[in-house]
Amino acid sequence: MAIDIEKPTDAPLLKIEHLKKHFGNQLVLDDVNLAINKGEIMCIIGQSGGGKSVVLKHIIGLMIPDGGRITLEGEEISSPTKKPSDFDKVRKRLGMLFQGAALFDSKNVGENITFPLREHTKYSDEQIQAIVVEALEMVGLQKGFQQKMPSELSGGMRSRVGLARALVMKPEIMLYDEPTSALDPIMTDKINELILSLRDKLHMTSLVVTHDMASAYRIADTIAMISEGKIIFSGTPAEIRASRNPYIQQFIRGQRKLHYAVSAAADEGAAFSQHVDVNELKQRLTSGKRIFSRRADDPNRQDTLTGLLSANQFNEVLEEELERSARDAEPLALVICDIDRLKALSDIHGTEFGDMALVEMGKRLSKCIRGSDHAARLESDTFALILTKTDPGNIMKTVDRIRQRVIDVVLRTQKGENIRVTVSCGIALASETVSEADTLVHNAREACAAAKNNGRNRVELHAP
Amino acid sequence: MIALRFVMRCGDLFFGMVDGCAVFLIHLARISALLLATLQRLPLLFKNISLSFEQMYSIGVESLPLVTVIAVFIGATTVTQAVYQFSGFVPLKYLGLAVCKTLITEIGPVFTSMVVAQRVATSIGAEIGSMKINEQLDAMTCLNLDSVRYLFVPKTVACVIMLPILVIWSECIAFISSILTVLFSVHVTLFVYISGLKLLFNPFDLIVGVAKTSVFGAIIALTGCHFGLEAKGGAEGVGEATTKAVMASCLLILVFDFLIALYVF
Repeated sequence: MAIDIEKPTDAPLLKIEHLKKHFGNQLVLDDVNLAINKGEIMCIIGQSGGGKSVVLKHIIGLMIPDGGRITLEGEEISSPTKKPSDFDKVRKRLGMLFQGAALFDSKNVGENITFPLREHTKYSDEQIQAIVVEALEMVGLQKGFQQKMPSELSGGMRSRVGLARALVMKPEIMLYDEPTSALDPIMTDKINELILSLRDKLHMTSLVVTHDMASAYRIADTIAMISEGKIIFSGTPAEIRASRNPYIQQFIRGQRKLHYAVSAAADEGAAFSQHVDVNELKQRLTSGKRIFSRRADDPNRQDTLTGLLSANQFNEVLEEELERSARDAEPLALVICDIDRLKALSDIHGTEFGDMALVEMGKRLSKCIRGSDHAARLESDTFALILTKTDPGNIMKTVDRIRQRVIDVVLRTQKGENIRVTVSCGIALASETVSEADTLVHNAREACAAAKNNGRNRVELHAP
Repeated sequence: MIALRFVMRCGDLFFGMVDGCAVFLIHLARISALLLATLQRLPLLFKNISLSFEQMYSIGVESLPLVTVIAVFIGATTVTQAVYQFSGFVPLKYLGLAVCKTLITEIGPVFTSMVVAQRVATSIGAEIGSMKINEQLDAMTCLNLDSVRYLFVPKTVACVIMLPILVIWSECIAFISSILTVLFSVHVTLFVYISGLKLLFNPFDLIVGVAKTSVFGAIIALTGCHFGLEAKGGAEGVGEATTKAVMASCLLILVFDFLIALYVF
């Protein structure tokens, strides 16, 4: 986004603190905390029915909270003791675009836009007409649209008219309730453009509720994610992409895999930590559980030993990343890392040593990669890394750096010997000819085998 | 065992009735609150008088064809029935008297109001209900536009003013139709029938008969608005709202008609 954003002042324009709301027995908002700065575009994302729209309705006074408060420039506008009539003054500073625009269908476009103007201002007919034409132009509609009835308009046009209706009152903060949910991709893009242009032209602060991640990435300065009535994440689009929280990752990659996230989250938080404590592992080992070389029971779950992605998850993530790299024309590299002579080592020093080596390796690999990359454990001693946005020219150096950091650890056996564990890595690059996941994995494995044949503890790039 | 079941059934029925009464009272309270809110905004009526005129047109003028057809049959049927009931017992010079009294006190006002209720309460219920479902009411609130002032007041005022006018029109038509029926199918001269109409004619009956339809008008508009506001869910919710609006407005019209008959006449 090539837009200069005015540096936010210290105090946020709009602040939501500990917002709580029940509908009957159902707790919709548990503890919502948000702060929006002036001129900022914030997107609230989350599952349908997760209470995103409810937050907006509290800000504009359509609902009264059961707990918590909302302040605008430090002044309290909403709390359990406020009445709906207290909002009359505040609403002049706020505008809202509803899902499906909520145009008054007994009035034509012109009347829809002029209705609030005629009732709240003392402008003459000519002035009102000029304002309406200006507002319509701003949303990209011609003057002739004024005579049309809402039923004659397409979804995108309705949204624009709804936006024009809110804009004529010159709000400081615009609230959008799923502005693009029912629109085709081209219209979605136009509405997103509009939201951005309003920020540029009028320096408007916007709060957008959406579940369309593409739109959120495009327009948001900040993305807040709401789940089970709480804000579980708030940060820039880059930060959310880099988040390790499996629930967030599943959401931003597509909702179909949400069940992993839920089951992973239920796993006593272990799934979030991405690596397992060695001491804890030792305890588990002494209690008689052998987990070396054991495949995860449920292939959908994360790898229990190392906390990395399991083989099944890896396949899905790889396919998605391949799709994305093809779409965005970004480079993608797959690295297969194999621990050298692990079987021999565990035969000599015991299976506990083998487990320890695996855990340590998983821990180091997950530390070496960036937020947008992925690490997985494929088989007993084979790991895979998906590196996105890595310059193919420097890939050898990058992976070699990872190899050096990985082997820079000395494990102590039960007998007190110090052993250095090494890895062999094979790299395969995705290209137009190599765009299938299977081919890519095959190529990387070949490269890895070549590294082993060429003396181990080295990196090889698959030659196309 | 059977006795126990019987007792349980009775218990269920009793609590069901209590529940129903409670729901009815809650609705009544909310409709009263709506009436109060409407009365509060009445002084602002003239600022947007055009909205009321629009409603008067759609509620009053557009109901005319329906009301006219109904009135024709009301007049004709009343005469025919009266003749049948009188035959052999009551002299036909009292035919006019019977028709006049029934038409201006009950059948004219109540029948017309019920017919208008079925047309208007459904349309108000459906309109407000779909505005609620499509968030248009919320949109109005967000634009600081008071839905009571801009939607409910014009509709209520239009109903209160237009219903008596419709009733007067309907009674005129009913009388003309009754006269035509007498001329063509009953062996009574026009002179005897008309003098019967004038016999014991009390202007008070006519005035109260017409005036009470203003109350019915308010009932129609307010129940329509109330059940529209209660609409939930999608199209099904709107359908339910319209059904409830018609049922409640017809019921309340009959209840209030009884109360007026009890205390005014």
